[in-house]
Amino acid sequence: MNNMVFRTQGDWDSTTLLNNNEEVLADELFVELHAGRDAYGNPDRGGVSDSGEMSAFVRLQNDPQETGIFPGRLQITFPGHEIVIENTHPTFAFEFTRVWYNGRDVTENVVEVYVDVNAPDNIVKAYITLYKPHWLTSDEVATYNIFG
Amino acid sequence: MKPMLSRSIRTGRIGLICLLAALLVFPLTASQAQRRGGSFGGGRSFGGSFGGGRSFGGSFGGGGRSFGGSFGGGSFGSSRSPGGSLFGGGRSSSFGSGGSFGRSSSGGSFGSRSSSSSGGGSFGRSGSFGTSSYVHSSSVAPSYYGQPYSSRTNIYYGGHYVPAYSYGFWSGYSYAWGAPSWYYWTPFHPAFYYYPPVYYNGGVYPGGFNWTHFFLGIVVILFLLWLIGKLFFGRKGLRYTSYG
Repeated sequence: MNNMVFRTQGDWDSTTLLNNNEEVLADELFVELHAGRDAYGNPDRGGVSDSGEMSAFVRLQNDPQETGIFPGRLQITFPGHEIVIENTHPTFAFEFTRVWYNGRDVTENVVEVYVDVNAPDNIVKAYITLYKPHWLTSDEVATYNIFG
Repeated sequence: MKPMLSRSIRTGRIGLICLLAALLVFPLTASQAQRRGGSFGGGRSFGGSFGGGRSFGGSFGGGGRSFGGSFGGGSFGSSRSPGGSLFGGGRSSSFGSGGSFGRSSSGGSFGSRSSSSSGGGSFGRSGSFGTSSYVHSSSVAPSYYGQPYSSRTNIYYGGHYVPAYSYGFWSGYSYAWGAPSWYYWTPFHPAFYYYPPVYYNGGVYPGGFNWTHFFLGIVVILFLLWLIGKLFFGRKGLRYTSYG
């Protein structure tokens, strides 16, 4: 079971990736999660319970093949933001995924998570989109731009 | 920008809800009663100072007892005047049970001494002594005055029974303010739209339509309809926002 921790302060020197407390030399960390959509593909409340899909992998420096992260736990820490994704199901069943954003469980609100840290191409991009139901006003699909 | 705008709109809506709730909890009738009672007794100020209690409590027929209770609860009833020289030294209950206190014709009947009759006379003219809190004396003719009434009954007011007129439709709800329930302060009860009854020229008349409450009721009902529509039937749509 992987327990990956990605941390960065905003530059490459401060960027680290650990797996079970051991540093991993990687070229790329990629996570893409889609959930919380209705039958027509529009954002809807429900998050992971609406079903969805996720791809999450690491591309090691000495192995250009994609190495899957899950089942396991991934913690991604940017300045001011923290995303934790966990799926410990042996067969990586999507409905067992749980997501936290800044310590808050957003499993039932998450619409999209996108993290791409690509060192060779110097690409760093991360955001999370949450469905925020409101009592009186229109429901909100809020995208929190984390980096890039 | 959008989140800030929506936040301020939500704050405004919450404020509106609080304002409406406050209006319901602190209705306008207290101040209106004072306004309407500006001529309270028309030289019957004595009644004003003693009649403020709610002892009358809406028991139209049983006024005699409650009158006594009200009197006993006041400063008069609790104090025995030393020697009782002025008021005859009677206990407060004797005033209440006597029932002749409010009648000017009785003169000094409430006192044991005839010498106090002149003083008693002045008290006796205060016809509003013991006035129930919800019937207000007025020197201005109420809107129903002079119109043919649909029913008439007698209620105890000012120390004696006076005719109380009803004019059909919902005007009778004006008398409901004698024993109001909490929901009379909501726009869902007809009494909400009527002033308490008015005493004028020897009779008690319905207080008339309360237009302030009428418009307030419209606002409240429209707001509730809007709220229900928003909560259960509205298509709220989606807002796409971006942070950071």
